[in-house]
Amino acid sequence: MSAKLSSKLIAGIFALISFVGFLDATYLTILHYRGAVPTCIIVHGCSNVTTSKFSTVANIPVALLGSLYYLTVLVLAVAYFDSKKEIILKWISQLTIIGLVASAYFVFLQIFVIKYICIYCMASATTSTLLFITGRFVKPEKNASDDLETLAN
Amino acid sequence: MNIKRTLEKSAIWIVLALAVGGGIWGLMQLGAPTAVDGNKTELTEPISAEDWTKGSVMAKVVLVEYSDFQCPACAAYFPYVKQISNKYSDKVLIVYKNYPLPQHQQSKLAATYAEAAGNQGRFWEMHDKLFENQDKWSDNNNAEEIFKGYARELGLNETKLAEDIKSSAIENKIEKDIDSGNKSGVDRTPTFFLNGKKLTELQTLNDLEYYVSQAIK
Repeated sequence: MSAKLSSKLIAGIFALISFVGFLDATYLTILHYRGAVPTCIIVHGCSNVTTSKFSTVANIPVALLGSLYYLTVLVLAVAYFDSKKEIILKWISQLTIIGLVASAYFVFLQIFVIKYICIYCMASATTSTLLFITGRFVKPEKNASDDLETLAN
Repeated sequence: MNIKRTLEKSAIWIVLALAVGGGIWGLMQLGAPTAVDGNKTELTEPISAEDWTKGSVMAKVVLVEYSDFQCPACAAYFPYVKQISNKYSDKVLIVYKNYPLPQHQQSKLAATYAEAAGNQGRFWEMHDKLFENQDKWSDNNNAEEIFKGYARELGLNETKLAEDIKSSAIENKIEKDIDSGNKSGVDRTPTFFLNGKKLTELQTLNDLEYYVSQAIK
């Protein structure tokens, strides 16, 4: 019973954090496609990050990739609430590793290469780190029979 | 029981769709252009004969830009300001003021070279070169050599240029620009004042021309 509650809680945290991350990344994506350029604000870094050559991969803005990543996590978390299949939480847990690695790379770029910090990008790094940490709470020993059992219910 | 479960399942997905859809809609509203908020901040410092201007002095529309040669956003706005200047040359007076940000290491030096070029009547030419080639000198430790190269391309007198670069007059003028920006509430670049009123709602590059064209009407 406690395991079920814990899974629900984990899925809830996944949903909440990924929604925040989705809004953050989507805001940057909208600005990108509108052609908006965040101005250079005194002292606090500036648009160096969001207009740098690292802001797109093959002409796709990384903000859009981030947005899709968070949306995937969000949809999967909701799919868990729908189906109660534990395997979905494991998928999310594995996805968060990709999110963490990508975020670590972008934080590295900001600090050591672009040398400016974008607050929205750091917020995204925070949400993806929190998702990764949450992912570590997903029980790894669950097996297929549990899922079948859940499905039978 | 099954109906209840189906309703619950449907509700979960409906909430998700509403949250995602509502979130995207809200964010799009945040990014949409709105009317100029003319009451917020005004240009407190009048433009002077020392300022670099382009266009008709008789124009009823004056666009003052506080800018930083090393700021990528300023470089992004540069072709749009130029387009406005070309399109409405008899209707708009463009005024350039320096506001080099402390985090941009080459910015003040770039402004100094632009001012020195201005002393030889070539401010706007240097201004254009600096913005057009920003990515070439922005992170370059030899930026000054690149600036000297631009000066040569513009045919500037190198002796006078070297003297002006060292002079306190240019440094004082840049400081005066920064000071006037601070008094007018400038805290980012580019900051535009259209007929003395700060354009606080610029979201896209095209918004600038929209507001200028509205002011001309």
